[in-house]
Formats: sequence, structure tokens, C-alpha cells
Amino acid sequence: MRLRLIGASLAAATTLGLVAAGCSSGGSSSSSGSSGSSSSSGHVTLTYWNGFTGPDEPAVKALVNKFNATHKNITIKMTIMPWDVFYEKLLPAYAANNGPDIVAMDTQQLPQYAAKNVFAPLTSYYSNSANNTSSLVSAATDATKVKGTQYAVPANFAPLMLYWNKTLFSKAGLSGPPTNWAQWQSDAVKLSKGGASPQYGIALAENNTIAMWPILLWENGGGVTNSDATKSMLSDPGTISAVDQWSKLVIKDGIAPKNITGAEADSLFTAQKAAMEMNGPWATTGYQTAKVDFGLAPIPAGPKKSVTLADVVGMSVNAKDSSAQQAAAETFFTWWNTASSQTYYAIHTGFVPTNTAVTAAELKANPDVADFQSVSSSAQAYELGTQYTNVETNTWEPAIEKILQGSPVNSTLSAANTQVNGYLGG
Amino acid sequence: MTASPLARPTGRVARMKAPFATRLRRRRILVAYTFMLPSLVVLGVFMFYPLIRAAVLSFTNYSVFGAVKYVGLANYTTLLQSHQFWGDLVNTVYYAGVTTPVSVALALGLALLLNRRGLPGRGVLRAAIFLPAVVSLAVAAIPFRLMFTPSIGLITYWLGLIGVHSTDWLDSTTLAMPAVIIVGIWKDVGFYMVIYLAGLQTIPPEFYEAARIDGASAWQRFRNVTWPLLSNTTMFVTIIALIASFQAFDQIFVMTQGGPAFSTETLVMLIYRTGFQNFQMGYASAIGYVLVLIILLFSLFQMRYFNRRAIRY
Amino acid sequence: MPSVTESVATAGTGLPLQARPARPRARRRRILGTGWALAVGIAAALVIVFPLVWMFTTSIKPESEIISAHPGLFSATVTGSNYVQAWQAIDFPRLFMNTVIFAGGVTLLSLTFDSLTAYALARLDFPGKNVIFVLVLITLMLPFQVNLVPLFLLLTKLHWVNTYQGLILPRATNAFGIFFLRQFFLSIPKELEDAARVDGASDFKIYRSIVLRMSVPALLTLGLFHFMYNWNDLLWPLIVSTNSSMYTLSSGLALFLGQHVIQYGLIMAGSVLAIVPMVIAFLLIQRRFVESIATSGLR
Repeated sequence: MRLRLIGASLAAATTLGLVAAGCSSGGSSSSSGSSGSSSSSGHVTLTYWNGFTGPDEPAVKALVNKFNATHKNITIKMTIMPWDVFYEKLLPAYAANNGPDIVAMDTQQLPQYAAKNVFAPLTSYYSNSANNTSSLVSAATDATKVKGTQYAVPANFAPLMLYWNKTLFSKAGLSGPPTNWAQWQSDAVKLSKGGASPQYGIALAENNTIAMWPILLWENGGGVTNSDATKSMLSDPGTISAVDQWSKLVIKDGIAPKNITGAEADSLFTAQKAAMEMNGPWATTGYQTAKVDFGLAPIPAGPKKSVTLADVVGMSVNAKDSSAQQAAAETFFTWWNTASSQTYYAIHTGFVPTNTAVTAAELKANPDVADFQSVSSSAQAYELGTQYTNVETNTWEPAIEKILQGSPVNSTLSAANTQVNGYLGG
Repeated sequence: MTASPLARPTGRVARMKAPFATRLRRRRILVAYTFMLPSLVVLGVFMFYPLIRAAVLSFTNYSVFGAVKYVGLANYTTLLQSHQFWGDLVNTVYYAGVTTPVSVALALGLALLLNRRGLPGRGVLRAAIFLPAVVSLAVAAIPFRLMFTPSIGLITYWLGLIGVHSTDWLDSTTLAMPAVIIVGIWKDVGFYMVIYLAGLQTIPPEFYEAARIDGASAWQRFRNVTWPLLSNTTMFVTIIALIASFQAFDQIFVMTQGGPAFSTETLVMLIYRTGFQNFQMGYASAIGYVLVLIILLFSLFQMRYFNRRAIRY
Repeated sequence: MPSVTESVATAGTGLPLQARPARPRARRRRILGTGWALAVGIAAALVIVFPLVWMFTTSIKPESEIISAHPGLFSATVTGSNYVQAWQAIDFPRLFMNTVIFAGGVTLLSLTFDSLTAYALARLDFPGKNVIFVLVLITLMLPFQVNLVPLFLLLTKLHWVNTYQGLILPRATNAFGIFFLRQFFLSIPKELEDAARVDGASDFKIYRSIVLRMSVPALLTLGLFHFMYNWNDLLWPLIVSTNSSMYTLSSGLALFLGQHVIQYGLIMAGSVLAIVPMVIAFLLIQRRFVESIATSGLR
């Protein structure tokens, strides 16, 4: 009766309590602020969070396993998760003093985290010649700097090139890839066909993608912001002219679909429904499997500049790590960037080695990598400082989307310009 | 209906009424709260505590990491003056206003259809319609994206074969919202249908037989037997559908990320964006609470509507 | 099988009813009605199921043929390689076990706690009843994203991150379940309960012996929903776990979504593998539905 009812709920509450006090299967937290540990015998365990999902995962896992096997004093416990989840959890984990020791993060996101002082500055790492940082690709080491201080070590480096479909080009009577804007634009028009099942000259993506439009702005002397992200360049004549030219081609001549993601752009190129695409090295395997006869060419030279964009992921260390942990992390960074590790990584993922000492001959197993390596020197990273999300996702992308839907170029860009300056100034 | 034995007055009970009734009442309250104890504990710790914490945070400039400063009503005044907030509110009401009635009506229709005795393959059809509820929406949104992309999508390819030129719905600021609405309805219709089926199963068939003997037509049977006896279920389904539609996130996140040009951004996406991409957690919590208020108002309104028509035994 | 009306009408006398000559017409109308219903039902089912059929056919295609200029539902080559790869890539057995523990644990706890609370809200009278009901509903209305960070910080403080209890207990009761069962309990006729109360049965006994037994279809339905919702939950296990060995199936599948490259074949194959147990569960519950109603004492 009444007693039984009370007894039943007490039992339930006790169970809850017991479970609460009881077993855990791997929970970890320490008061030191990091979730790894270092024991008195000198063995260091480091937790490593990153978003290397998809086809990159096997190679990353293999390398980490190799490091653990060859370094008896250090164990790296890696957790891979999708990038959105990664960014959702990282700050709360640091706020709860339970953050990972090492992270790999896109350098575009780095400034926000550096500003919150969750990562340790790596000045001494770079000045120590034993770490061989001078052999790293300079565009990559530039991207890992925040306001002049180093906060990360490059984990991978990926410049963009122009993929062009040889079959579609020859069908349109074109002999080779374009080398300047005039050819590029006329080729794109020639390669576009409307109708029920359209074909596009170029798969130009503007959201959820590796940045493609900024390359067009840079080559015309414009840009989204200036190089240290203190002032907007959206109302610069170079920017306006670039946006004007290319958006007109999209709207009037249908050279590209209007608002697609990076994944859709890749799909269009795979299905041979787009003849060109600016993309990174990760796409080569997929296109080969799909039997697309593609070639790789440098981005056609612009009226003012000949430049391409580099995507850099950097590895950083938890600011709260002990010196033993930090030393272990630095050992890992150095090992990751040795010529042999980078050769393995490049061959298996297609990324360009971060280490410039790797020669093209050593990359024979994956010849496309050598192509990408050759454009490394003209690559620059797309950095927007701590206001990355506000500028890119909240202002620039919607502005382009509106323009492609028909909004007038000048006024839309001018409004965006004011908005960006508002973010950067404040 | 038999009256409750406690209402039947006897001399002894009437004379003992005052202290007996109080003891009884106290015992009833204890019993009730004991029943609810486990749920209340779990909800209290894991729902209300974070909820209250989020409420407190909404009056601060909490950004997950770093110093926290009390800012009073600043977050609320900012959002009420924010063009983005009002635009997203319109989108949210648009989404909920279409998804809720359509899903519920379709679910009821399908439930009635698949409840007929003697319909062959009922189990298979029910399972088929229920299937979308079984898949994770984030994964299911991928085929939707792919199938409807012109040039490479299956649906657009087939339409192209018969000469219909399709535009990419997700490209356009006017068609993107209908596209995510369709996916939202697709996902939940089977789920609501199963709830309606459970409700339909509890209607004693004798009522239908009685109605049939009286010569009632199918429509009259529905209106006078089914619909009233389903009122509890309908209230439940409409409120759940309304709350779910106000919180739509998964397919929008996968398919459009709130674009193009924020045309599909709902309030929940705004919360996600400001909270997890800009790390303005205090501001995001404020938006969250405004959303709760809106949902609460709509739900209370609905409950009042249904309570007036409820069947109580 | 003769309908209730027919057997009642002819029982005892054996004489034909006046209504008998009209029966062939009524039967024809019924068959036509059933025919229409079947057609609409099949059409609806086909439309709804189509994206999932696409998922399945994609999962048996080689990756190279998934994106093509001439897409087709089927392809000439059928391959199981996506399944093999998916199985190996995410340590399927381990994730499967985690998912069963997570979804199963939540379902069992939730059914118990939800039904207890729902019974109190539906049948017992006490002060604060409506307030508690509204409070429960409010937890349903708050978007998950707002709760997420405070909840995560709480779990960290309890050292429950990356543990089974951290995964299950926050979900051990559910406003949806409470609401669902309350509505259901409200619609059950009260006679049996009142009779039992007169006989002196305690509330708990009434709850256990009468109400629960009469609610089997609702409990099965709710159990299925809880199981299914948690089986498919992508985000929560990813948030609570810091170690991929604690992931559940759906969360594990998200690992096939690369930053730049989506492995369509793998993710579709993995999704099919994750759906199959749920479909089986649903088909089993389907049949129990009918059985339980047929054997419930009330009819």
C-alpha cells in the first residue's frame, strides 16, 4: 500500500543515487585544466580532438598510431568528431576545465580562440631550430599566426587549383585550360548549356565550401577585407568590378548555379555537369573513381594578380597544459611534420606536404599532389581575424546570395561594407 | 457513471468529515507526489536547473569562456530591435503555420485510412509511412538534397526526361522554405499517424456498430463518433506538432543552413548561430526564452481550445 | 468472419433479417471503398518511402556511380562493399551495443517514470497539479540548443561526461512521454478504477494492475517512440562522449561526413544498417498492438 509505494520510489531514487556515485566507463577530468595526464615516470597522455572525418580519417589514425608505437613515453588519445560538433563542444569543455590537450582547427577559427587565451603561444617552438619550422610551407606558417604571434603548427596545407574536364572541353572545341580571365570567362560561357538538364561552365560554390569567390576578388585587386582584417574592402573598385563581372555571367549566361554548397559543386563536377571547379586536393580520388577525365591547372591569372587560396589546419596546445605535456605535444608536432610523415600523409589523403623538403619524386604514388605542390608559393590563406563568423557567414555570404538572386551589386556591397566595418571596428 | 464512494454521505462519515477529510487529503497529496518523484527529480536536475541557469545567463554577456558581466535587459532589448530576429520570427511562424495543420490533417487521414478492417497489407503500409520517423533527419536530408539538385538529382532527371525544367528549390529565396517544409512534414506524418492509430484503437467498435445500425453515413460516423472521441489525441498531436515545428532545426541545418540569404533561418537556427558560432551564449539564451514564451502562448491557446471540447469519463 | 451486427442480428432465431437482400450491395460498396483506400494508401506509402528506397539503392552502388549525369535508381553493378567498409570503419558491434544500452536504458526508465507521473497527473487530485503539468510542458518547449551548454557544464561537474549514466539519466524521463500517457489515461473509462477503489485498493495497486494493463498499446507505442528517438539521436551522444568508443550508431555515421568530401555510399549503407533493427521492432510492435486489444478484458 502506501508503504510499498514509498518503498518503490525510494528504491528508484536510491538507484539513481548509486548510479550517480558509481561506475563510469572512461570519464576523465582533472583539476589541472586538461583532460590528459602525466605521471611521475615521465609517461605523458595527451587528448587530441579534431574533425578529420571522412576519407582523411584512416591516414590520420594510422599516423597517430605510428607515433604512439614509436614514442613509448607519449600516448595520444585521439577523438574524431564532425567539425560542427567539435566547435560546439570545444569552448564549453575549456570552460569546464576539461578541454583537450591538442586540437586541430581551421586557421580561420584560430583567432577567436586565441583571443580567449585557451591556446598556448608557440613562439619558443618556432624559434627552436631543432623543430625545423623553416622547412614548413610559408603560406601555412603565416596562416597560423594571430596578430603576429604563433598559436598553431600546420597540420595540413591545401591550395586550390582549377580542375577542368578534358572531355567537356574538347567537345566544346577548346584545346586547353584558360590561363587568364578573358579566356576563363569566354570558356565558361561556351561550356554552359541551359535546358532541362543544364551543364555549367564552372561549379562556383559560395556557402559551406572552401572559399572560391574571394579568389576572384583578390585577382582583381579587391578582397573581402584587407590583409590584417582591420578594414572592409567590399566597396573597393576591384571588388565591385569582380563581383559585377562574374555575377552577371552567372545570372545572364548561366555559367554556374546560383547558390550551391561545396559538396554540390563537387557533385556537379563528378557528374560531369560542370566543366571547371576551383577545388582542393582532397577531391582528386573521388573524381578519379568516378572516371572523370580531369586536368589540373593553376587558377587563371587575374587582371591584377595571379593568386590562389590555401586552406590550412593547424594544431594548437591547451594553454593550461603542464610543461611536460606541452613538450610532448611539441614532439608530436615536429614528428607530424617530418618529411616521412608528410609523404605518407600526402600520398594517402592528397594534401600537399607541409614540409617543403618533400620532393615531387617522392610523391609519385599520387601524382596530383605534385601539381598542387607547384602552386604553393602563390597561395594565400583567407583570414578574417576574430570576426570570421560575423564577416563570412553573416555578411559576405548573404550578400553574394542576394546579388545572385538579382540585387544590385553596388548597393548590396555597400551595405555589406558598412556592416563588416562595424564588426571589424568594434 | 458510478459516483465516487467518498461522495456518498453516511452519518458516520459526515460527523468525521473534518479530520478524516484532512488526513485523507494529506495522504492523497503524499501519494501523488511520490508517484511523480522520480520524474520530478530527473526533470529538476537535468531540465530545470540548466533552464534556470540559461535564464540567468540571458541577463549577462556570457560567452562560454571568459569574464561574465551582468547586462540586465540589454540582450532582450537588442533582440527586439534586431531586424534579424523579426525576420527569423516570421520565417518560424511561416514554417510552423504550414507544417502543423498539414502534418496533423494528413496523419489523421492516413490513420483513418489504415484503420479500416479488411484493408489488405495494412501492416506493411503503416510501416512504410512510419519509416521516415525511424531515420535520423540529418541523414535523410542528404538524399533530399541530392535528389532535387538539377542536373544530377534523380527526381529532376526524371522530370527532365519528360521535358519539365526544374529549378533548384534550395537555390531560391522563395522556394527554399517550401522545400524544408516538405521534408519536415515527410518526417513526422507517419509518427503522428501512429499516435492517431493508438487513439483510434481505443474507440470501442460498439459505438460504430450502434451508429451504423442507426443508419449513419461514413462522414456522420466520423463527425459524431470518431472526432469527439479522438479529442484528447488530437489535442496531444497538435500541441506536439506545434512545439516540434517551432523547434525545427535538423533538416534546415543540413539542407540550407538557414540560407539562401537567411530565407529559411528560423529562431532556433539563430540561437545556434549566435550561441555556437559567435559564442554569444547570453544573447542566445535570451532568444531561447522569447521563443519559449511564444510557444507557450500558442500552446496554452490550443489547450484552452481543446479543453472546452474534451471528453472526460 | 461475420460482423458483430450480423451475428447479433441473426443469433438465437436463425431467421434471415429484412436487411439481408441489401447485403450484396453493401458488400460491393465496401469492396469499392476498400479498393479506393488501398490505392490511396499505396500511393501515399510509395511517395513517402521513395527517399528511403533511394538510400537503400545508393548503398548497394559503387561510390563512383552514385553521382552521375545519368542518375538511375539502380545500377548495373550491385556491391556490398559499402556495407563492409561501413561496418569496419566505425567498429559497428561496439557502437551497436552502446546504442542498445542507451536507447534501451532510456526507454525502460522513461516508461516507468513517465507512466507514474502521468497517472498522478491524470487520476490523482492534488494542489499544484496544473502548475506541474505546465512546467512539464515547458521543458518540452525549450529548444535543446539553449539547454545544451549549461547541461554539459553540469555533467562535467558531476564527472558524468563520457559515461553511460551521463548519457541515459538526463533522458530518464520525458515531457513527451508524460504528456502522451496523461492524455491516454484520461481517455480510459474510470469504472474499473472506481470499483477497485471502493474495494480498498491502493493507488499504486490500481496503477499497476488496472491502468497499466489497459494501456498496453499506448505503452508499446511510447516505448517504441522513446527507443526510436534515442536510437537515432545524433547530437546528444556526440556531446556527452569525448571518446569515440562511447558513440552510438547515428553519431558514428556522422563521421562519414567529411569536411570537404561526403562519402555517400558509406553513410547510406551505415544508415540502412542502423534502421533495420528499428523496422523490425516496429513490425513486431504492430502485431502486438492488435493482439493486446483483442485480449484486453474490456471489449
